[in-house]
Amino acid sequence: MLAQQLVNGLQLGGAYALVAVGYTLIFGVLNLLHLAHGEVFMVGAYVGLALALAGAPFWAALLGGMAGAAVLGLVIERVAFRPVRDRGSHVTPLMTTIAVSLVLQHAVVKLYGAEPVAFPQVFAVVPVSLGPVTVTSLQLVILGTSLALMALLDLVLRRTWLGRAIRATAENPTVASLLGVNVSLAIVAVFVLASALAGAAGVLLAANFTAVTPFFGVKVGLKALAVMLVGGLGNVPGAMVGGVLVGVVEALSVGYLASSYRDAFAFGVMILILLVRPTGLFGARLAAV
Amino acid sequence: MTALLAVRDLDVRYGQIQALRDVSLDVPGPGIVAIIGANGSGKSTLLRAISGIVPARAGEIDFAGRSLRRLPPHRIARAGVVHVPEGRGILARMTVLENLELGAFARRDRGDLTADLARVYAHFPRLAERRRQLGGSLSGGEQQMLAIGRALMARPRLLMLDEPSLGLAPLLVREIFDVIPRLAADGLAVLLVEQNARMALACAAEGYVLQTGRVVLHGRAADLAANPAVQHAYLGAT
Repeated sequence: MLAQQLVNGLQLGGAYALVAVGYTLIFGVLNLLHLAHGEVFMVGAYVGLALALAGAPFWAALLGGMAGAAVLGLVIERVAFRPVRDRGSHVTPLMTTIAVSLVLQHAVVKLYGAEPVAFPQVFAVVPVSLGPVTVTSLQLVILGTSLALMALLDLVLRRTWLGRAIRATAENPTVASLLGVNVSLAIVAVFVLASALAGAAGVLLAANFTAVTPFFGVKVGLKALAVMLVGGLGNVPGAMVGGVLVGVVEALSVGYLASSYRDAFAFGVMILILLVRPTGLFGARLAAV
Repeated sequence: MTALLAVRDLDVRYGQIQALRDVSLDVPGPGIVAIIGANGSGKSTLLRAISGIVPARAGEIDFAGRSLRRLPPHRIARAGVVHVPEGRGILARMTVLENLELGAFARRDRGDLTADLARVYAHFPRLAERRRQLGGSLSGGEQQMLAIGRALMARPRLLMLDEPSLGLAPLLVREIFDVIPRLAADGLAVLLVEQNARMALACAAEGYVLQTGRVVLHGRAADLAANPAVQHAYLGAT
């Protein structure tokens, strides 16, 4: 029972971590919150849904959701961040991104309606026995995809020139530009990466919950914000660990306590952690990788 | 004769404050050109305007026959003008090696950095010992070495150093000032901003004296060092 809930939690937490890592990357380079990131996640889910409904295989729906979310991220950077970056206060981009999130929710309501849309069963969900634990093939796919994407992100940030440029920009944009880094381009790259990961999480969680609504991104977005705070603002590995932690707490509360209080437990743990460690589990080392 | 870097009638303002007025300066080619002046005389602003971090209101900045004015900083760095800013600009959360590797970012051919790293380590052996450490854990002197080493990784044509001696113990200042003339002797053009006018003029070929944003004196470094007015104002003579 415990092992079973841990597996459920890992799978949920992996998806939360994918969203939270995006938040923290964007916060790392801009010191700004992207409050429409939950809606990027939601739109990614709908793009995947549309493809799955059209008969596309799951991997194609996943890639499509990532691509759609990445394009949306590009547009949001252009429309809601670049015009107000370095000008005005920190509150301005909060408002512009809240506006974007409302526009996206209502656009999806217009297209698909406000009611939940069932996510088609894209492949045969077969139970797999791993010792005392039974997982479904879907759970394995979700967990495996989340882990693979995070490993890939880690590799990009550590080992590629793009990753070095992003980390330099996160630490000191002026110095990065003196080293030859096109800071605006690095910021765009961060939005593309962060949004693609959120889109992937959207498709994965939509398949997991078997339905999506236009407001699907609100709660997950808030939870991912909590995950980012738990992991330490701007700290990418912190967001990965924080995501898994929040997912596991949620799964355990569903398994042992009351499933209707799952969000209360998830946020309760966040509050407890922040009371003890106000800068999160791994401190506020911005963009430490 | 065309200079490698030619600055003409440069004006820079911060809001209402005129930071530079009609500044003209040449870096002819390999060798050291020193800029001395008191705090707030506009020395750092001049470097920041050349590297594109602050916009110039008027004037021209030509480098190797091409105008740098209005280019963004990363394009200027890629053109071969590398600026080691005041405070050194070390990326504290990245390792020494990662800082050095990032130095090569401005280059088009950044495939194999082994030879470049070896050259930097030859100048600053201490960086080789510390290459796995985080930049933020280095002492001030080591950070200055890292900043210069990182700039060399870009294989610059013009190296601009802002106050490399600032806050360093005398022994480390000497170490840094041993390396700078060697770089110039190897064919690098160096534009050196220093409050330590004595050290700067001792290793430079030419010097400029800035006062409240204007060039008030310009000449051979040896002549400036012998000038009674310069001695009185900047070299601590009585």
